[in-house]
Amino acid sequence: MNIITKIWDVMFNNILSQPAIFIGLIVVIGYILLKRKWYEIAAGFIKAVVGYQILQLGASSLKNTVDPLLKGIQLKWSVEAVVIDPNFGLTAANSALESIGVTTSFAMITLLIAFLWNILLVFFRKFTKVRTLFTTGHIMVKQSTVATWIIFFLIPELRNMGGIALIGILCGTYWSVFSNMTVEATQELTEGAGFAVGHQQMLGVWFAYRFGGLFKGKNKQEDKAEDQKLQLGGALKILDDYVVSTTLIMLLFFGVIMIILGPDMMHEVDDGNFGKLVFPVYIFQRCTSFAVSLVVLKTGIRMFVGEMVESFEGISGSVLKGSLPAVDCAATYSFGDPNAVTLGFLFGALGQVIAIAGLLIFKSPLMIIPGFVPLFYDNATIGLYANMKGGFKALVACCLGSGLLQVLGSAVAIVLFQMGPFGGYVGNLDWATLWPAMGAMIKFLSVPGAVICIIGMLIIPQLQYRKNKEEYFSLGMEE
Amino acid sequence: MIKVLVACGCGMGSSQLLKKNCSAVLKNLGVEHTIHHTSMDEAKSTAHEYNLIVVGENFVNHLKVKEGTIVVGLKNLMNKKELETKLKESGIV
Repeated sequence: MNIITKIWDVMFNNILSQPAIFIGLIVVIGYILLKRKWYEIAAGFIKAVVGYQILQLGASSLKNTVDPLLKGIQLKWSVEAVVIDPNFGLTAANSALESIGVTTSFAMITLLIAFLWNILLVFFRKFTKVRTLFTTGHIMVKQSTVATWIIFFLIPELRNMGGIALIGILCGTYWSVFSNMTVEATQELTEGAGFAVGHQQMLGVWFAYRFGGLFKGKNKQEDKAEDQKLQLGGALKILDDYVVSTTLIMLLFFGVIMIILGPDMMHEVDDGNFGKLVFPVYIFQRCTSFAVSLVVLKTGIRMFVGEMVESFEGISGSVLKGSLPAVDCAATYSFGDPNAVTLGFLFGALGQVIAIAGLLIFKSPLMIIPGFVPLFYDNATIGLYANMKGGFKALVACCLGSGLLQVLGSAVAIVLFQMGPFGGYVGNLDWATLWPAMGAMIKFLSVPGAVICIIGMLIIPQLQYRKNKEEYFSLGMEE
Repeated sequence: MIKVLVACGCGMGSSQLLKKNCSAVLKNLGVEHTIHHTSMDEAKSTAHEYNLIVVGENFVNHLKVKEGTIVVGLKNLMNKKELETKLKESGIV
């Protein structure tokens, strides 16, 4: 017995509790199934391990950049401040898991189970009516990590492999069902391009598609976004550059906060970085270091997710035939009205600012700081679909609403899942609406609550199928 | 052997898929190649190192490339037929 325990200990300490090596081994298995050459497998292993470690480096640098600021806010106004952005959410969920002594490898097992569950649901699509396979690895990493923390926090008894299986199935059901809900909308927008959205605002896409038409004016062709004679072009084009947009948004929000906090406070909480700099240079330097951390983080994610997604093809194999891939929402931006993307972003941002002002006016103990990903990707996508169905008015209504919900829903989620002390939460629309709702259910009903959520979600594709039996499985498929 | 770069906004989601499709199409056409995917901001600074750059249609105007580098912009990132036609039109294959 002793030897077995010892072997398990060695395995646990050296593989399972080392997420980088763990993810590397998953890649190796996938590549073996794909019958890759040994040196390709070795290269894949190394890139996955190095990529994950770069991600960890970026995450800790992001944490070090944001921590003094959050501390300053706390000292000055005694409120907790949280950044709502999936990159910050991933970093926060990782530290949250570490704070309860759980290895982040668990989150990677969640990911694997969720992915296998998605394959299973697609494989039995005759019964499940699920047509879409999630392929956006970078999203899957973030969501499975946050979901793991949510359940581990809400139900401490589940902090084991059985619990991971449940989280994996919950997460995988969400991926399958909600990406499946975007099929009709996306085929209409792209004129049958043959993909669905697999991102973090799939409920929002469905909502904008389903209800966008209600905002349509009486004269049919009166108000499309393209008729809003806006010369947005030039100046807003720089937002397409992630480094520029992140720095600007951080300057806008954190810059203002730092000015209000004042140089004395910043010296107190962050003297190491402040040193002998003058205040404006210090502010600018801090805001650019957000961009630095995020670029490092993304480089790491890109590297290991690149290997992971390729190796997953070894696992998903022929299942993909006859199903649709659920891809990044950005794939929709070359369809529909290009103005809608920019306008969606602007009205979403307006919604977020109104909600944050509301939090401040009503002296909320929690302060929300917007991040770029929910601001841009959610609202641009929702704007595109809303504009298609109901024109400019629908875009304004849906994106304003989305911005408001992103902030207020995230605030609820942060309190419910106790993410406040870790300074970050996902903030995308699904994670500000659907997930806190499911979280509340699980909090009060424990495991049965999770089971109800899973079954409830699985009913949705059945209802979709009933509505359109003839074309259901042929939508977006090539002849 | 040509060097190919595939780029999208963040360099994580759509470029990853496009890389897969692009590689398959080039293989079908019998073109030897190495292929990478990245974000637009990185693509701008490394464009000169590649023979072919494939991006979404909306990004084509953002790239300023030197002679010898061909940029192909796609409307549907998932459509292999469009990719094949545009690759042939570009004269790279």
